[in-house]
Amino acid sequence: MLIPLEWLKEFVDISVPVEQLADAITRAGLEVTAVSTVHIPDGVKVARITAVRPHPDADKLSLCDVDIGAKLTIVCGAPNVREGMLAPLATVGTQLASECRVKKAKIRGVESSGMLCSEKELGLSDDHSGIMTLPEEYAAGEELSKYYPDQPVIEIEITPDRGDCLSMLGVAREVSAVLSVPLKDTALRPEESGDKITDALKIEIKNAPACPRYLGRLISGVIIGESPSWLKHRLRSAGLRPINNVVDITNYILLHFGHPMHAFDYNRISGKKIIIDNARENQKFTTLDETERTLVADDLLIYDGEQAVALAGIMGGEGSAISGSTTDVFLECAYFDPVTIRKTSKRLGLSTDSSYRFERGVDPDRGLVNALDTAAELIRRCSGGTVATGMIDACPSPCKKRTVTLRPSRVTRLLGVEIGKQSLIEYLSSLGIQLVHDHGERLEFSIPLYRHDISSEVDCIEEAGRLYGYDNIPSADRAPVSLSVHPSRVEKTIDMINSTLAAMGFHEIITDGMTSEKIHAFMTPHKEPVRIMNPLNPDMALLRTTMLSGCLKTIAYNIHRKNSDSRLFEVGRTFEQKTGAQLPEERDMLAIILDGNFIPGAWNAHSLPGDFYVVKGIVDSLVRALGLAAPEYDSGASLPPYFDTTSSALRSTGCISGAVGTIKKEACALFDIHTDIYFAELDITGLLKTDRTLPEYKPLPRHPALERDFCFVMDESIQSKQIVSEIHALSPLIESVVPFDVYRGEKVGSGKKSIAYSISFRAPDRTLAEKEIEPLCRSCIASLKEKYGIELRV
Amino acid sequence: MAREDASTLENLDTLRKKIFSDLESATDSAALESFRIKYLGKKGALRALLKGLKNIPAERRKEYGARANQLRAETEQAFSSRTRQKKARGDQQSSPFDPSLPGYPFPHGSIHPLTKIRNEIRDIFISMGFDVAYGPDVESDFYNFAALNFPPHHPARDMQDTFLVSPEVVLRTHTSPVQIRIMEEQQPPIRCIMPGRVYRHEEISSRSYCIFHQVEGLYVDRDVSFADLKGTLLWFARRFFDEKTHIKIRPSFFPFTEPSVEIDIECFLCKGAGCSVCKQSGWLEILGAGMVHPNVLASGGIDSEHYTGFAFGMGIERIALLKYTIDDIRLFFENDIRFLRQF
Ligand SMILES: [Zn+2]
Repeated sequence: MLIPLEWLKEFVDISVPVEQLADAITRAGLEVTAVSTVHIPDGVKVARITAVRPHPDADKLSLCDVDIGAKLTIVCGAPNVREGMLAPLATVGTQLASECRVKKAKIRGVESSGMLCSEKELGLSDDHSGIMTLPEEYAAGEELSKYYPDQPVIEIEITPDRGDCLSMLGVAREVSAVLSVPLKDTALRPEESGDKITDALKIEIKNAPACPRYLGRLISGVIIGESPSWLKHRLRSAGLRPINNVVDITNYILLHFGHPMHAFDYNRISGKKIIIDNARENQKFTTLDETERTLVADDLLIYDGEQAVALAGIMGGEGSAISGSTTDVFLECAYFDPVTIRKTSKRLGLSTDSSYRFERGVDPDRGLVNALDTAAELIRRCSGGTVATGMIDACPSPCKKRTVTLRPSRVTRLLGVEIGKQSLIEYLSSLGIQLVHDHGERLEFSIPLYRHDISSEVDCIEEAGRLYGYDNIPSADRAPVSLSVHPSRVEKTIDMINSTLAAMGFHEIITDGMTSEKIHAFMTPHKEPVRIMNPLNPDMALLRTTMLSGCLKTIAYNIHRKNSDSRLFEVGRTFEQKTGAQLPEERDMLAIILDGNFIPGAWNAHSLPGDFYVVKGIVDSLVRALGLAAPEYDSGASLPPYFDTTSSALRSTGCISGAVGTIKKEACALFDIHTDIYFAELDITGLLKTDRTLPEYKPLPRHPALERDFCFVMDESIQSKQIVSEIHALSPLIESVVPFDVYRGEKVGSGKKSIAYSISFRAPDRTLAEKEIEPLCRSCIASLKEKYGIELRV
Repeated sequence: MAREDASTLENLDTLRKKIFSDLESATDSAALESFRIKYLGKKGALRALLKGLKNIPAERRKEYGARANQLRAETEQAFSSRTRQKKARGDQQSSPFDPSLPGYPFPHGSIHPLTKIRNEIRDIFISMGFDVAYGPDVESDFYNFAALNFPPHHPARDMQDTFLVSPEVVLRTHTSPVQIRIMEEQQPPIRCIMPGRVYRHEEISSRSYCIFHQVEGLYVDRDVSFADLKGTLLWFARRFFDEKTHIKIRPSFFPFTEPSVEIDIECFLCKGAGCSVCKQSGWLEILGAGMVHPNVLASGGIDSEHYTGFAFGMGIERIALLKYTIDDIRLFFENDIRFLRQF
């Protein structure tokens, strides 16, 4: 919100520099985000436009003769130039805020000796619809800065709890408390004359909880026209555009007191009746912005004798609005229930300055009366009408002031500093929170009705604390250590995964975890995803059900930027909606992905290109680093549909499961990737819940091993692990069986492969003799032949 | 061709010594080739050894055979590494060694900058006796808002643009719901940090992203006061940023704390003098904090007359952007390898 200092000073005397003021109110709770100064540069003069002629060479431009003492010709493109108006002219040499210096220039062949300016060009507002119209009382030829002295404007960001600060008055109340200066009463009382308002209009409130109080005044015989310049100036300085004298005054009151009002054309209120009641379900109502809105029964409407005339607290309707021909104005100033207004505003997606304030709560008490009285008097002064005698005050359910009990001991306990009872009372009273009873250890305070955010003891403690100053509370210099805390095993495990993979050459990535329907349909059609009702875009419409989508997206991003050999990993969650559960199942996952070489080639070294066995090797090493048994691979188990046939499921010690392999070409193509991608996806949910087991120490062997190499020829259908387990089963003396070469080709024939194994024999208690292992070797050859038809290759 | 008498194991050791001294003195390619013929060729000494096995007494033959095989393997390996070395250093003995050629490119990876910052923050709090806890990314309205003292139709809900899964389920907009989950599980004392991913319905730009990460903190015990909050967070700021840094506290508003504050730290780039990063203010906004609201303690089943507490939260991305002076938040989620490699 923009707070012009000059406006604020109407409420409080401020003797400190504006920067100091900004700092003081920020420390007390209203965050000042900027302090700026509106400055009209020297050289901008009040100019009288004496003639407007068409430009000989351009339809959209006109030539204006202007008088600033001297007579000049200006080329102007604004649609609103007319003969006789006063407008700001930036003369040649003027430095405008937009960092351009006005020069003498030929525009389409005609010389222009300056520039007629819009409000935006002068930095007064964002209005760039035409040149600015200056009030008649300004003197042509004067510097415009004479009428617009430099004016500091403070920009404040107001938190949603402080609806009471959405006005000059509200900010002034804070300033008054912070600087300890008195708050001035700026409300006016109208000069009343003529008939009583109660004879002119009847009010009926049918939904009292939604409209606890409704005030109104009638001003007759007004002439709708331009607002006086002080008023236009005020509105502009706070960022609003002047419209006409009546509307401007309601806007002025909104900014001044924070109270939204609505002005009706009295003559268009049929039946001279105002009824506040709910809408009917599906009732249509056209608001001032020419939009037809469909309402529900919870919405609150203002009706006249025949029809709805306004959406209460949000926006008026077309039919009863102030127009150029309005002569009698009925001013509404009400207190509507914040929740009712918010529900309607949210549902319709219609937020106005008025609804914004009602939602946050306005003052249902004196503030309401002050706003209405001041508005009526200003309309009388500015538009020449008369204010009818009396005001309507329909107050079916008066708001009651809350009282809050505060214990000074509690203040000390919560803030960690003793403020003292007397100081507490003073701080609170400076904010209008009055002590009503002093029971010693319990103080009872009455809370002003405009402070909707204060309802309990702790709220009062905050009020006192912020005025005492948080910077004045000492910092504790010790902290207890809880002996019940156990350092997180999850953190240790993830640290281990990160550091191991980083050491093996992988880069950790973090992706957004969202994916599209299309990718989901291909990757995980068997899973029910979490769909976002209001996604940012279709590519981010659901939460990932596999880590692959983010990994492939990242690979594609890097390929596109000519980054080769992507070795990446991500630790993250996947989500799956389960029937009957409110929240989806979240799994902790680890993904490892490889594009290109695992080890790149160099000037004298070979590369190691990625393949299934590289990723498998990485997974095996990682699992071992985590202190678990090497995983078991089961190529028969079912795999997610994005893996192709050179892939395998895996499992380790019951706490890791997943798959390793090659990604299908079609999956890669979804991301415009056309290289081979190797991927491992491990579910580590169980791992993170598992305590790390102590390593199991085995004494080192004391006797040498014997090694024998065998080369077996077998059907392609036989897997190496079958051979390995077959051999292991023969004798406990067999320590290891390691394949070291695989051959396919003429020498073994088609449909066959040859695998060479190195078998190591060892006894724990003696040096094995050759004769002990010879029968083992023979039975190994025999049993492989018998069981699998495997031949020894010689 | 020398005919070593290698019929005993001792002779095998002698042969081994001879092989390695010959290899050592083979400094050019011609010498390496004659070494190869002498020992590894078809008629080489090592083949001869194996052929001579039949002359060894049967009881020693196996051991002898194994040792001979091992020697052959060892020799082959040493020879090939020597040849490779030769190739690298240049063929002639006279050509100078060039150490400036690059070492072979063993892959080196990296840990994501956000993880690094997160873990730095975590380790500081762990050293102060905080535990680490987690909660789900997809949360019910109850945990994300209602239990945290956001009334159903309060404008405070507009502070966080929310992704909805259903009217009652949201992608959590902050890590604060984990506070409630912990309090439900555990009575005080509670000293815990809760790192995690959060979601906001915000257009993606250089300044904001629709996901980011927070570290939430909660300390509930008897007589925890605002002075404790200040002390803990000041110490954190001094460990994390600069041991001489100062903090400044401004009142703020969060529904789940009362009083609520924002904590600024002195800009560590300009030491408070003012620079473009701190927008000339000398201060950086890094933390939101406050005393846990009695309604929130009640939501968690904790008696607020007995216990008080403070909570705080900080954005990891924001701190990482500041600490590494990165100017575009999207870099964290694009994962360009050239970016990742720098951390
Ligand atoms: Zn700085």
